[in-house]
Parts: sequence; C-alpha cells; structure tokens
Amino acid sequence: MIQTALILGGLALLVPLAWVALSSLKRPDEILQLPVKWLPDNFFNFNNYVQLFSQYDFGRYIGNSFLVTGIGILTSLVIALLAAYAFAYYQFPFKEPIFLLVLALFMVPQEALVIPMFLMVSGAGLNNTYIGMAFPDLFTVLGVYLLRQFMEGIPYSYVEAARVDGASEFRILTRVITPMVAPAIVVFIIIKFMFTWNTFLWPMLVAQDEKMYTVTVGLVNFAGSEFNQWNLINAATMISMIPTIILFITLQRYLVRGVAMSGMK
Amino acid sequence: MNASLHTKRAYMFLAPALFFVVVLFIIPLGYNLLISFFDWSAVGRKQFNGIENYAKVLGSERFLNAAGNTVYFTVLAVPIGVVLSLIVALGFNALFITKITGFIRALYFAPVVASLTAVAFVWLWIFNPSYGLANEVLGIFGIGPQPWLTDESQAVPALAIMYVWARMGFNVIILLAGLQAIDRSYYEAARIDGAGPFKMFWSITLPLLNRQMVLVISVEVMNAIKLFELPFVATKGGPVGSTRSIVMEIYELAFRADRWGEAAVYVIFLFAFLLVVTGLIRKLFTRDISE
Repeated sequence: MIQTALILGGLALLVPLAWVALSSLKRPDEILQLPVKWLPDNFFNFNNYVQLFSQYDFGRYIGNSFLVTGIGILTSLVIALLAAYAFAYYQFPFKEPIFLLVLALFMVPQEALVIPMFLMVSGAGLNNTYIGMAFPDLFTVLGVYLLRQFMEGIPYSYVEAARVDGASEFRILTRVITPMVAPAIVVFIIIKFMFTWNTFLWPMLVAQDEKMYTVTVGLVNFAGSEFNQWNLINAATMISMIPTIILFITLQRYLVRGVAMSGMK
Repeated sequence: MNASLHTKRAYMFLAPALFFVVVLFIIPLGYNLLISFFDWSAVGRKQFNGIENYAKVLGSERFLNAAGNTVYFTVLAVPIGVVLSLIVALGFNALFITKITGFIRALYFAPVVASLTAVAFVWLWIFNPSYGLANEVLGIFGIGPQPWLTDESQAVPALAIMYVWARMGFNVIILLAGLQAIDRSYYEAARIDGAGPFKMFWSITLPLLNRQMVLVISVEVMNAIKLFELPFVATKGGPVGSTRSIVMEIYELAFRADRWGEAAVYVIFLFAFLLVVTGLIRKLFTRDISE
C-alpha cells in the first residue's frame, strides 16, 4: 500500500517535466490547439531543438555554461583540497576559530552580496569575462567541509609513513591523500556542478554581451524576446536541463549520497 | 618538523581559501555596509547621507510590500514542503530497500536537478490559463479554469506550489538518511511497552530526527527568503506587485534604478532577518535528547 502511494506520488511529481518534454516536440500550431493535446503527433519531431541550435545561439550558451562551471569546479576543488589538508593534518593557532568562521559563511547567500561583488568585479574590468562570471563560484565553503570530514577518516599513519619516506607535503596531498578522498571529490564535483550550472542572477548581471550568456540567462532572454512561442520555450527549457538530468541519471547514487552526507553531521 | 615551520606550512595550505574568504565574503560584507550609508550612484555621485537610506527604505510602501510578499511565500511554502517531505520520507523508511524503492526515490529527486529558472518556465507553461495542464486537470474533476499566476490572490500560492515541487526531493533525501540512522531497537522496546505508532513517532522518531529537521527547515527558510528566479521569470513581480520579493527589489533598485544605497539597506535587512529566523529555528526546534 505504502509502495503504491509512493509510486503514484513520484509519477505525479514527474508529470510537469514530462509535460514540458512532450510539449517541446510539438509544432507551433499543435501546441496552441484546444482542447489541449497531451501527446505530440510525432514523437521524433526535433525541429524546435534544431531551430534553437541553428537560428539561435543555444550551442554557445551551453558552451559558456560548461566553461564557467568548469572554472568554478576546478578552482574551488583545488582550494578546498589544500585547505582541508591543513585542517585535517595540522595543528596550528586559531585552527578551530578559523574553521568555524569558514563554516559560518555557509549562512551567507550569494544573492545577498551581489551589490558589492558586482561593483568589485566591474571595477576590476571583469564584466563580460569568464573569470568574472565564475567569480562567486571560485571558492565554496562546502568543499572544505566535505573534504575535511573525509580526510579525518583516513588514518594519520598514512601521512606519517609518507613523511618518513621523505615525501614533500604537497606530494603527500596529491599522491596519497587525493586518491583516497576520490569518493568525496566526486560528490563535491556533482553538487558544485548542479549549483553553478543552475545559477542565474550573477551571470545575468555580469554577462552583458549576448555572446557570453550562460544557458539560464540565454533561456530567460530568449523567452522574453520570443514571447508566446511555447514550442520553442519548452525545447529551450529542456536544453537547459539536459546536462543536469544526464548527470542525475548516471551518477544518481553519488548525488543522493552527497546530499545525505552534507546533511548528516 | 619544528612548531613554527609546521604552522607556517599549515597557513600556506590555507592561504588560497583564506584569500577567497576575504575577497568573496569579508570585503563584500563590509563594502555593502559602507554603501548603505551613502547616496550611491554607480556612474556618479557618492555622498555620505547617514541613516537616510534606512529611514527611506523602512518607511516605503515598496519595502513593506516586498517583505510582506516574501514572508507570506515563506510561511506558505516551507511548512507544506517540510510536512510533505516528512510524510514521503516516513513512507520510504517503512519499505525495505530494493531496486524498486531506489527507482521511486529517483522520481522524487528528479525535479531537484532543474534550475529554478527552468522550474519557473516549466510551471509558467503548466499554469498557462488557456493551454496549460493545470486547468486541463482541474477540468477532469469538474473544476472551472483558474487564473493562477495572473491573479493577485493566487499568484503567491502558485509560486509556493512550484517551489515545493522543486525542493521536495532534496528534503526527502536528508530526512530519509536521518530516519535510517535511528536504531530499530528503540521501536522494539517501545512496542513492548505498548506504545502505538503515533506515540512512537512523537517520542522516538521526531526527537531523534531533530538534527535533520532543523537542517531542512533552516535551508528551506533561507531559500524561500531569497526568492528571486521564480517571480522574476514567471510573474515579473505582478500582478499589481503581489509577487515582488526582497531580492527582486534589490536587483531593481540597484541595477535598474541606480539607487545602490537603498538596495544595500535591503541587503542588510535581508541578513538581519535571516539571522533572526535561523536563530529562532535553532532555539525552537533543537530539543535536548540527552536526558
């Protein structure tokens, strides 16, 4: 009984996404037919998608999103690995206060800092650049937290043994510790990908040239100019979601574990 | 390795993180506070005007309206979302974990991966008064078409539906992880003592789920209070300003109206509000279970 209820509930939650997916396959006249048609005439009508990639710049938006997200993941991962290593294997003055300060920044929403951050980024001439667009995502508190937790689960003797062997600290981090925390790194990359890919406000402010739009900004801009072309808007919505949906389907286990992990302790 | 070298090395590893803590958080927080005391235009005038911005914002219809809308949305969306998530999580927890439950769980989580921008478009189309699915489904049950996002009194509830849909999977995962960590022997003992399911839920499940509940409620409240994409895309703040949110006003005041000082004041209020509310949540919901 419970199982049936959960299946029905889950399917109901999927209806909105399915409805958009089905609508994205309809012709312009078909989508505005009354009474409403649930299914498209032709399930292989990808004209809307073709149009978005050929007549509009969605290919470029997707590329921009990948680039900005990639920069954010790379820098925040490296910085988090370095910091987590210090927190996990070193004793130093003000260690816990500093860690608490970093953790407290969890509570600061990005949206609340757009004003000064925009003035800083545009003052530095970074408007319309990929670095400027990735700026708030260059560092993520969550990474430091997740990796520290995971590193502390690794016996200290591994680090000591490597030190006795004369390995440099940097080498211990890159060759010994990093491979051992790979599961946490995967979790971090997935969560970070989702967050950065999905941001809207910041890239909208910094990307003033259409060539620089990420896919979320491109989607909103497109829908604003092609008002009421619902077949295209639905297809554009699908395009913006496809990368995260693929990520979700292939790495679902890690994603679920990551969310559960970040909520556990 | 001697102590001072040890410390020096630790700070070398920490240096990039600390640099970004300063650049991404400390400086912007200070800068924002500074701007809030200025009549600040991005292109020209930057004049100290004391607390004038604060007085102006607090007395403005615009601020009260945005704050009211944001609170209304939060009060509507968060409790419904959390209770629904808890019910679903309890349902999953009652089942044995099999391939099938893993698959069903994935259904619940799927909307979480969509950006709020995409969510807004998904539902804008569903709530379309003429061609949308929402009125079509209501029609099956013999209920007449509703105006949804185009009606002053329905717009915020409609946004709340979108939000609950988008966030539920995330909450379910966290709550389910918490439920699965509860030792089964507590329930066995309670059963022997003759406790019913309601009593067990109240005196075992809820107290032991406390950490996850506080987390879920805090995260939800934070997300709801910084509401932006949903109204920005789906209603543009309308009809008649009924869905204008705080973050929307921050955007409009600074980037459209060039009134950065006032926008900075909105940010300060947003912060104060977040601190007070999350502090209250911790106080109200964190129970001592050590007894």
